[in-house]
Parts: sequence; C-alpha cells; structure tokens
Amino acid sequence: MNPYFLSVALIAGSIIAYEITLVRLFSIAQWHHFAHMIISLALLGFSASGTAISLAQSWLIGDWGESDGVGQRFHKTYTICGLLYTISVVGCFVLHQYVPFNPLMLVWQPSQALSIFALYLILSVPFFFGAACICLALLQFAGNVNRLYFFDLFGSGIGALGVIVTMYLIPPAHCLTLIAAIGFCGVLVANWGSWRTQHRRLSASIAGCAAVFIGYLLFNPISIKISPYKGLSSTLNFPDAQILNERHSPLGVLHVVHSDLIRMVPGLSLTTQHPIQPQLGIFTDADAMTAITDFRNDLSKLGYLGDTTSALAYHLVESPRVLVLGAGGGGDVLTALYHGVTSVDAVELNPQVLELVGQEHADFAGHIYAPDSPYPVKVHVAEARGFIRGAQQQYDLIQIALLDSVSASAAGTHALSESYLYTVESIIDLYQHLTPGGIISITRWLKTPPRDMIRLFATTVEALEGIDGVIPAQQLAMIRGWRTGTLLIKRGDFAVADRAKIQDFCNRRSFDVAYYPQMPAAEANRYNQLGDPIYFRAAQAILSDNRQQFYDGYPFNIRPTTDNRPYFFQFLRFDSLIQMIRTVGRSAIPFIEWGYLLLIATLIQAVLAGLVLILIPLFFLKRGDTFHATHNSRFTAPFRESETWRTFGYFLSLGVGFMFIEMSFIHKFLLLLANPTYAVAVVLCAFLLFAGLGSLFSLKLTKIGRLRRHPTAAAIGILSVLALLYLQLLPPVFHRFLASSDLLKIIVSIGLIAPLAFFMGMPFPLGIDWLQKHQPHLIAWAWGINGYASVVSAILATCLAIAFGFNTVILLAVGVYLIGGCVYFRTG
Amino acid sequence: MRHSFFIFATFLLLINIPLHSAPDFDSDRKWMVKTQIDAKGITDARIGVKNQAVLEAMRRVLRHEFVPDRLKSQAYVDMPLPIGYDQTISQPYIVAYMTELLDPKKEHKVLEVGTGSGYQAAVLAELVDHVYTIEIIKELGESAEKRLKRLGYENVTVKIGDGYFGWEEHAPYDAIIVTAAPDHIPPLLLHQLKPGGKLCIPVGGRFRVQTLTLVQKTEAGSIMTRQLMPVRFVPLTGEH
Repeated sequence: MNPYFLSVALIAGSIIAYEITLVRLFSIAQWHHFAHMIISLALLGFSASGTAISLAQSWLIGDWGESDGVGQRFHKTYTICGLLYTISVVGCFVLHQYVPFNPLMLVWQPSQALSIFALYLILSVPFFFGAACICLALLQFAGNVNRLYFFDLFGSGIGALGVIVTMYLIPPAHCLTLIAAIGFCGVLVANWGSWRTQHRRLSASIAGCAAVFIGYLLFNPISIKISPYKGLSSTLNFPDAQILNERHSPLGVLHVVHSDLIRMVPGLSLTTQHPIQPQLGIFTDADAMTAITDFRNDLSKLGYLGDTTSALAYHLVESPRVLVLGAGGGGDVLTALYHGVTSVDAVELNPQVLELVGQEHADFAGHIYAPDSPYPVKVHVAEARGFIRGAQQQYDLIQIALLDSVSASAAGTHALSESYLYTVESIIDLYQHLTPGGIISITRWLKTPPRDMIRLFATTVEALEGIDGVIPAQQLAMIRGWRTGTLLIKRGDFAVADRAKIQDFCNRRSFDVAYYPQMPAAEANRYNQLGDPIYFRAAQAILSDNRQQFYDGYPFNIRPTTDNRPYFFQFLRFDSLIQMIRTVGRSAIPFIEWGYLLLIATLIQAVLAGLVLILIPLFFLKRGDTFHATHNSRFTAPFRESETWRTFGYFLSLGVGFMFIEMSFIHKFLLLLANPTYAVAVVLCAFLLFAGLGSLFSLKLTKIGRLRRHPTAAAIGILSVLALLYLQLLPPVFHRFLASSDLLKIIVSIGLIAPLAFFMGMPFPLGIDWLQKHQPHLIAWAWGINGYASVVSAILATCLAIAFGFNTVILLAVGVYLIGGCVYFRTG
Repeated sequence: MRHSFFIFATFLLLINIPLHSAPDFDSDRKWMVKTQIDAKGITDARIGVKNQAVLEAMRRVLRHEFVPDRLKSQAYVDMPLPIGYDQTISQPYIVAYMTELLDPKKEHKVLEVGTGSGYQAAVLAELVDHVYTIEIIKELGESAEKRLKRLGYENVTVKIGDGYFGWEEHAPYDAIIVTAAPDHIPPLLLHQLKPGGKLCIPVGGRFRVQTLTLVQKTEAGSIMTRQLMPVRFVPLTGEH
C-alpha cells in the first residue's frame, strides 16, 4: 500500500478530531456560539491551503519524481507541512489563550474585533498545514484520486468517531496531545518508504522529536483558561469554594463545586418563609449550573420547593405518577417527593450527572438516584423527546424542568441550538402520554421583552388544535413569578375547582395568573407588574382568530416551532432588529440575541474571506504567473477560462450539496438517535465512511456500460432521488424505530445513510479525475473551492434551517447537486 | 508603490495612537452626566434620570478612582468595565437609574449587597444618611473600604461576608440594592426591608443589564415587583 495514503488517512482523522476537540474546548473556555464563529472562520485554513498551493504548486511538489514515482520536492514539502501541522495543533491552541479576548465586551469595545481576527489567524494555522498535506497528496496522486479520497474520508470518519469515544476516557485538553501524536504518526508513515534509503537520519530525527514533544505534553498537559465571567469562575471566587469532582465526556465537562453560598431555586416566591437547604453545584462546561440539594431524607426541610411556579401542578393532581424530563441535580425530583407522589421517573441525558448525584454524593443527595433509593424514584438515561416517544406507560404529571441556565437564556446563546422538546409534534407526543386528567407542566425563564412563554403558549395551542376533541382554551393555564413562568396543559378541562386552586396558589405566593379558562382581565398583572399585561393579552390573541395578526405584529418571532424548524430559542426578527436599532440605538445592545446575529456575521465574514481566497489564485492563474506554465512537465495544459469557471461551479456545488445534506441529516437523526453525541458520531462517521467507499468505487463507474459516458450524472441523479425519497421516508421510519433499542437505532441510521453517502462520495473524485486529465493545474484550486464551500455551507445550512426548515435545506442540496451535475455534463 | 504603501500604513498607525495629555476627569464627568444620564441631555431611547440630587451625586463621585489604573481613561465612557475577580463596575447610566429608582432621601439607611469597587456605595453615600455594604470577595471588599475611606466617605460601612442573609444588625433598611442578579431574591433581604421600602436588582448579566426588578414592600407588608427596562420600547411592545 502507498504509505502516503495511510498518512493522509491519519492526518485527515487528526484534523477532524482537532476540529471537534476545538469546539469542545471553546465551549468550555468561552461560549458555544463564539466557538462556532471562531472555528468556522479558522476552518477557512482549508481553503487557504488550496489557494497557496495553487499559486506555487510546481515549486512545492516539483516535477514527476525521480525515484518511486514520488518527487523529492513533494516528499519534503509534505513532511514539512505535516510537521508544522502537528506542532501547530498544540502550539496554536496554547498561543490563542494569550490573546486578550472577552466576548462579553465585544459590544462595548469594538477593538475586541482585532482579538477575534487574531484568533482566526492563529487557529487557522493547523487547518492550513493539515489540509495542505492532503492537497499535496491530491496533486501528486491525482491519477489514483478515488483511492486517495477514500483514505481521506475513511480517516476522517474514524477520526470523528474516535475523538468522541476518546472524550469519555480523557479530558478534552489531553485530546490535543493525542491528536498531535496521530499527526506525527502520519508524517512518520509518509517517511516510512524512505526509512531504509537516503532519509534515515531525517526520519529518525522526526521520530525522536515527536517522542520528546508528546512525552513533554503527557507530563505537562495543556490547561484551559476558562473565562472569568462563566458561572464556575464566579463561584470559585467565593472564599469557601472548592471543586469536589470533575467528569468529562462529549456531553460536557462537569465540575461539582461546594460552597455555602450556592443557592439555586429558580422561580422561588418572594413570600416564602422556608429556609433553603445547602447545595452543591454541578457546572456543565463551566456554566449552566444544576444543584444537588442536601436532602438527607428529611422532606420537611424542603418546604421552599413548594413555593416555586413549577409546584402548581402538584396542587391539581392527587398522588400522581410523575415523569421529570431533565432531572439534573434532582431539584424537580425532590419537589415531586415533597408533594407526596406515587412514583417518579427521572430522565437525564448525561449519565455522569446521575452518577454524581446517585453514587458520588448519594449521602448528601439522600440517595434519590441510588439503586437502593428508599423513594419511588426510577432513573433513566435518555434524551427527553426520545424517552417520551419510547415510553410505554402514561403519567399523571409530566414535568419539564428548566433545562438551560438563566445566563444562557438571557444572552440568547441557545439561538442556534435546536430543541425537539418544545415543538408542536413534541407537545402532541407528551399529551398522548398523559392519563385522563393528567397535566404537563413546563417551566421557562422569563425574558424581557416577553417571548419564551408566549412562543411556548403558541406552540401548545397549535399542537392541541391538531388533536381530535381538544379545546385548547379550556385545557391551558399559565402563571408567572418575577423570573419564571409555568404553563400547564391538562388532558381534560380545567374545572371551576381547578381554577380556584390556581388562584389560591398564586395569591399565597405573589405569583401572577397569565391565563386560565374564562379568566377576567382584572386578575392579570397584579404582583409582578409589567407595563402591559402582555402575557394575558398574548394568550387571548393566540386563542382568537387574530392569531396571525398578533404573530405578525409582535416584535419577536413567536410563531410555533416544529420538528422541521426546531429553533425554539431563535426569536430574532430582522425587521424588528432594524427598527429596534433605529429607535433605541446603542441601548438596544443588551436586548440583542447574539447567537443568530453571530451566525450571520460568521457567514458574511466567511463569504468575504472566501471570495478573496478563491479569486487571488484565479487572477494569477489567468496571467500565467504561477510556476506551472514554465517549470513543470505535469502542468502543460493551456489555461481555458470557461473550464476554470466550470471547475469553480462544479466543486462549489459539491461542497455545498454535501454539507447541506450532512448537516441536515445530523439534525434530523438527532430525533431518532435521541442523543446529540450519538447523532453526531453516527451520522458523521457513517457519511464519511460510506462516501469513502463511494469514492473507491467511483472510477469503476466509468467502466460500466451506459454509465461510462456520464458517471457523474449517474451518481448525482441517484443521490438526488435518494435524498428526495428520504424526505418522505424518514418520518415514518423514525416513528417506527423511536422506541427501539439504541443498537437497533444506530443500525437503522447507518443503513439509511449508507446508500446516500455512497453516491455522495463519487462526484468529487470523478471531478478531480477529469481535471487531472484536462486541467491539472486547477486541482489545488478545486480543493480550495471545495474546502471553502464546505465551511460556508455549514454556516448557511443553519441559517436556512432556522428560516425555512431542514426539508428546504435538503431540497436546496439536491438543486445544488443537480446544478453541479449540469456543469460537469457540459464540461465532460 | 511599495514605499507609498508603508508610508500610508505608518500614517494609519500613528493616527490611532492617542496623544497623552493630562486627562480632565472633571469635564469628563460633567459630559458623562449630561450626555449619558440626564433626561434633558440624552438623545437615544434610554429613560433619562430626572432626580437632580442623583444627577448631582453622579457629578460629584470620582468614578475614575473606582476603576483599575489601566482603564481610568475609559472611566466616563458609556460602558461597564471589569474590575477583577469577574466583577464589573456598572455602566454609569445603570448606576444612576438604579439609584433614582430607590428614591433616596437624606435620612435613609441603605443596604448594598455586592460592594464591588465601591462606586455604587459612594453615589448612594452622597444622597443618604448611611450605606451598609457587603462584599463576599475579601480582596475587593478591603480595597473598596480603603478607597471609600481615602475619598472621605465616612458614612459607608463595608463588611466582608455573605450578602444573602443581609445585615440584620442594622436592619430595617429604607432601601436595598443588589448588584448581581440571583435566580431568586433572598427572603431575608425582604424581611430586612422597611414597609414602604424598595429593593432593586439588575437582571441580565454583568455586561448586559436588560431590566431592573424593583421590589416594593407595601405599608401592609405585602410584596410587589415591577420589571423596568432602562430603555423606552414603546414603539415595539407598547411597554413602558
């Protein structure tokens, strides 16, 4: 086997592992939405490598090789790029931590933009050199592109899966050491062929340096500088604060912190007379705290839990069987136990949280999650929506806890996160798992100006309207305190007695009633006063015929969310934003939700940067200033402008089409696999591995009967049909397998992805094969375009999904692929 | 061509280097009050401060003494600033707006939870009889105490401790100000508030105050809150 192919697989695997690790590290040190922006831009290093190599390709790889068919110049360039990649994986991460960057000051200090630019540059270096290795190999072995691309995709697939598994075993910062080590292995493998010949000393030196470098990192692991403004940092400033435990997994890094000053009771009434029990804080990614309460089997000390908005439902159902979705540290489970329930099914996504509460701190937590729990609590590790779809039994009360932290909610940082829990389809699923008279209770942080609870109300109303025999106006109630609101959905009407209980509960705790059937307007907005009883008005409007006008006139997007557009936390409306900035000016800054705006900012920057990166080489290629025209026997084809533009169109289409489908499938399969880690790992790995197999098979297509003349058209045609078929096929298949075991769901997912990915892996090598035969000097440029398209389309796919839904993104992908096919067809 | 590029680049660099002259903090402070706080002077949609005593206090307190040396030049700019230990000194406007909401009187006794740099306490000290302020971070509390003493604020008492339980010894208070937004309001603070008293909490994070919650204890002892935006959103939501 060609050692370079194995080397490319190792480096490609290392690059994707680096990308995934970087997202994790940034999410811990800063915030996820900034991670998304900075890493997306840094990924343009891929495109830059294509640009740089296309400008100096002849000089970089030399003429056709003198020995082994491999040029000495190519060998040296590849080795140097590989070494610079591995060193920069660690070096650039360490270096970027010295850049003075405080994203929270971005709105106040425009100079922070310079820091961001510095971060882009620093973090793009590893991607530049890593991608340069693959691009150089592509140039050198263009005749074998199907095999090379197979190794590239195979390595990426294994790298993606490997790093996610590894994150369970070692902390994310240590992953960098492993990634660098894999990169070094890639360089060594490439040098393997020369080990016994003229480069013995060089190879030995590389191996020695690698051993020392990796050895040093093993004993001096890289530390992550966490922003001082994250919750963990703030808490550790308390004089008695100490970290008791640390856990890590792809779902996040958990820190358990002890401090007497930790007190978390979201939605606590201002009139409570009960003291709060001591707590331990569990921080996920140094923020988003959930609390473990010092329970020690004394329910009488938990009186304060009865004074939260989410406790209302316990006054309306007798001794219920309760399902708590998002159990976290156990606050909602304790609330249930305090109110004397029959049983509690507690569902939590992160098994390490359950382990910390149920084992590590079981005594402190009163053994509520322990296997030998004296309470009727059963713990389930699952994602909320997946659990409810698979649940066989019905519940008297389904509690949906506050799953996000108050700070993240306020900053709008979840704007890019999809949630399949707050959608029309999800509410229907939940409703169908209620016993007659049962209640769903959903609690959310309140935002100013109001939008969360209003969208939740709208989503619920439209969900209930889709169920036969349900009259939403009779089955809903909404209350609010000063920070939280709770929506109740009853399977049955709220009777007069229920209404009296709601009024009494709220009056005793100074909570406001926002809606219940036949509620008089005078009851709204009494204790926690807003300038306008907006929650009451909104509920009335949504239940009336004027609903659409209300949605249109509201300054935020509060339309119901669906499984196709599951962005519950994305409230921004651009027309309102412009109006807000016009009328409020600079003071609008605190009200802006940054997640979506940063996405748009990222897209604009990426488009501009990409245009520069793509047009620069075109300018020189046209002038014939690159070395290819005069210095190299392999680049003798004349420059033809029309073919250049077709190359641009074709490879841009492939990059965009591939990423649109891949991104949409990751999001869609989240619904089936019910776990973000599984979804990313399975979908990414399956796509890359089967696309790799498609690549391996691609050139055989040129030898099959009628397909011989138009293999690309055939591949694109088949994949388009499959993608369109899946639009119809996936919902019933998901519905059929949602309740199945994880293993079966993974097998089904792979089985669905495999044929589509197989054909998606063909067009790229077929295009490179054509270029190699007709316009070989454009190969590096094509690589750059494809890399650029992958970055931009990943961002664009999220923008489009938020605006139009994932089905539209898939349709667009098919359209883009077909355009690419037409371009190729005309060229071929 | 290449030379002219370097000359142009050097010029660009030079025009960005500030010429260091002695800062005129007095003028800066007056300008800050006039353009960022005073209802008569502000031009954007924020709700200006009308209480003349509060405006005068903002003119008197030397804000630049409460920020780290390296940030003194930005002390009167319309923005919050970091003061270390993950804490910030609030945007001047927010300090003034919160102070006005408390309706401070010369005879009042005020409790502040979260001393930080001591700036809010100094502004309050200009307006009320006595300010009691609690800071959990020892280093911040001690430096604020020294700073306030040095600047002559004899009517401010600083305690290092947990503000969650208030300061029972000096209760009840006419007003309480909590400078960091918790997820709930500590019940004991409400117990230490006089009937008719006010408690103010900013909501929305250190660098982005979105709303202020004003808690009022009626003469009868019942509790009510009002969500107040420091910005007029009338054209958008009908709220005020």
